This record gives sequence, structure tokens and C-alpha cells, in this order.
Amino acid sequence: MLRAAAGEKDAVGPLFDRHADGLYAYFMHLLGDRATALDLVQTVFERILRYSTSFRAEASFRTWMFQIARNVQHTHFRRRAAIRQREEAWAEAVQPDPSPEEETQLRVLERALRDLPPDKREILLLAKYSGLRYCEIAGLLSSTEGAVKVRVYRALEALRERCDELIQEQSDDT
Amino acid sequence: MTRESFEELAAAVLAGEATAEQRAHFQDLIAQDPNLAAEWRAAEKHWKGLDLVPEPSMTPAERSALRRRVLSGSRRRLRYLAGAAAAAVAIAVWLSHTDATPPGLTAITAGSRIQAVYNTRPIIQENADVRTALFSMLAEDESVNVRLSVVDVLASLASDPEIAPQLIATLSEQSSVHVQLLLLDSVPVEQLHAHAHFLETVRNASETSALVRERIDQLLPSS
Repeated sequence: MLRAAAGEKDAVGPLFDRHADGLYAYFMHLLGDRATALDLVQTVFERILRYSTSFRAEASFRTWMFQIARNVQHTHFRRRAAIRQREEAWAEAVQPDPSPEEETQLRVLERALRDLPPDKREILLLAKYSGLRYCEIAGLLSSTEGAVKVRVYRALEALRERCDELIQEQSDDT
Repeated sequence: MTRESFEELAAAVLAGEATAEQRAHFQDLIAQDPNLAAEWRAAEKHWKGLDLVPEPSMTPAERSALRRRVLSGSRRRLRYLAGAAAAAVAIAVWLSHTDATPPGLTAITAGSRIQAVYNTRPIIQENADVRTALFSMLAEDESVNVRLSVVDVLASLASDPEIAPQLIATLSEQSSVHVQLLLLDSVPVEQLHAHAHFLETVRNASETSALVRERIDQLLPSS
């Protein structure tokens, strides 16, 4: 990253190799749309290059990158009414009439994750998949470490409740 | 211990960030309260369950294409500073009624550029200079949203036999999957068919996304 900040544009290649997959997974979990996820990963790297001189060596690059990713995601929502788009994308992604065999516990969990409100889904994704520690997530969200922990636990509770509801719906259907 | 303190501690234990002392304290807590113990078991089960949720991943072709686009994007940015700057400024200055004479391209936000693009709608039919500036932005602007807005505006002229080929030609210059898909959806099918050979070239290019390939295949079934 420091090489990129120093103007070595080719340094972005190793950064891409290290972080692109994690960013893609983050956007896919949040948005559920492949084309959008690919575009947003690209936008994040464009911004990394653009603002590389503002990166401070003592900071965690991953935290800084996810700060950019969150900004990119918010801009995407704001400018393109993507909340509606996301819901439609998920509606397409979710099987409307899954067979009983398909309704494994894992599918329930996936579905419940998608059904969570965006703020709860985001905090869970950051805590579980970003590789960031709570203190780093707190910096990212301009919050305190304690508040982040509470939010993560409550998001997990919401996930559990949603799983229970989905399981109940299944048993009602059968 | 308050409810909030329990939640904080539980989250720390789940993520493996609790100290040995905190973990021991936590085990004592749940050992003394069957309700908390049951809640903890459920929380832990779901936390671990999240490990099993498949991580969405790019196909190797998508990843490779995206990598190329990102790397070429760094070069695009350098070109943009010298190239599309003039086009964006030209549009903004031309729209001087906005009182927004920009000091330079980099000072114009993407939002302002999008507004400028949409402001050209009433006059693009008769003003070739503005159309040229829009095509320049479509080729060079670093913001996907700006380029999408340009396609959106130019789409009103997509049935024009002089404009359609220009729109189609920009497909190969685009780094954004969304812009490429919108371009394909904006140009009338008969115009796309008239440029089937070019579209096949785009389709077969190594950097072309699988999604764009699929759309071209849908539009040109014989390709």
C-alpha cells in the first residue's frame, strides 16, 4: 500500500490479489448481485488508488479499505435506489418454493442472514468475515468497542430469531 | 452483571477476543444460569454456523477480468486527468446558467458531473459538441455512476443510425459490467445485429465479464 501511495501504480496488483476476494464476498453478502459486487470492488480499488496518499502507515490497511468499501456501498444505495434493487435481487436469489430436502439448516441460516435488517447484517458480516477485530470495527463505525460487541451479539440474536421463524414456517407448511 | 455487559462479554468470547480471565468469568456466569446457558448455546451454534455459509466467490474468469480492469483503471485515471477533464469542464461551462464554473475537473464531484450530464438532455439532439463531450465522458470518466448517466442520456438517441454505432463501439472501452450491460440494453436490437461481428469480438475478449457474454449471447443467439 505504501508503494501505491508513493505513486507506484503497479503496486495495486498485489493489493488486488490479497483483498479482492474478501471485498467481493462482503458486497455479495450485502447486495446479492454479482454485477454490482464486481463494479463495487472495482470502485473500491479505484478509490484506494485515488486516495492512497491519505493512507497513514500506522493505520490498518484492511480497516481503511473497509471504510472505503462502506462509503462506496452507501453511495451506491443513495444514488441508485439500490435498496429496492437489492431486495429484488434477493427475491430472485431465494427459491420461492424450496423442496424439503433443500431446506437444510444451512439454507435457513443463509436465508435468515439475507433477511436481517441491513445494519444488523453489516455488523455481522464485518465481525465474522472481514478479518477485523472489534476495536478496528469500532474505528470504522466511529463507535466504541463495547457498543460494537453489543451490536454484534444482538445481531446474532436477531439471526437466531429469524432462523426459528423460518423453521416454524417450514413446519407449518408441511 | 448487566445484560449489556453479558452481551459484550459473549461477543468477545465468540470472536476469540476474550482474555482467559474473561472466558473463565463467562463460564461461571452461564454455569449459574440455565437460561443464559441455553441462550449461549444457541448463539454459539449460529455463530459457528456462519462459518459454513458459503463465501460468495468470483469465477476465475470474472476475477481475472476484474483484475485487468482494476489495473487498467489506474492508467485510465491518468488519461482522465488529461482527457475527459476538458469534456466535463466543457459541459459544465456550457451550462453556465448553473453558476458553477469549475476551477478544474478534479474539483467537480461525480454528483455534479451527473447533474451536468442530465442537464444536457434538452439539447443533445441538436448540439453535436455536447454529444461529443458526452461520448468523451463515457469513454474516460472514472465514475461508473457518471458513465451510467451518460448512457442513460444518450440512450434517447440510440435508434439514430449515426449514434448507435458510436454507443456500440464504446463497449470495448468500458471497464464496468453495469455500463456494458446498460449499453447493450439501450441500443435497439436491429442495430446490435448490424454490428454482430464487433459484438462477437467484445464477447470473445478475455477481459469481458461472463455476465456481458451471456447478455451478448441472448441478444445474438447465433454468436
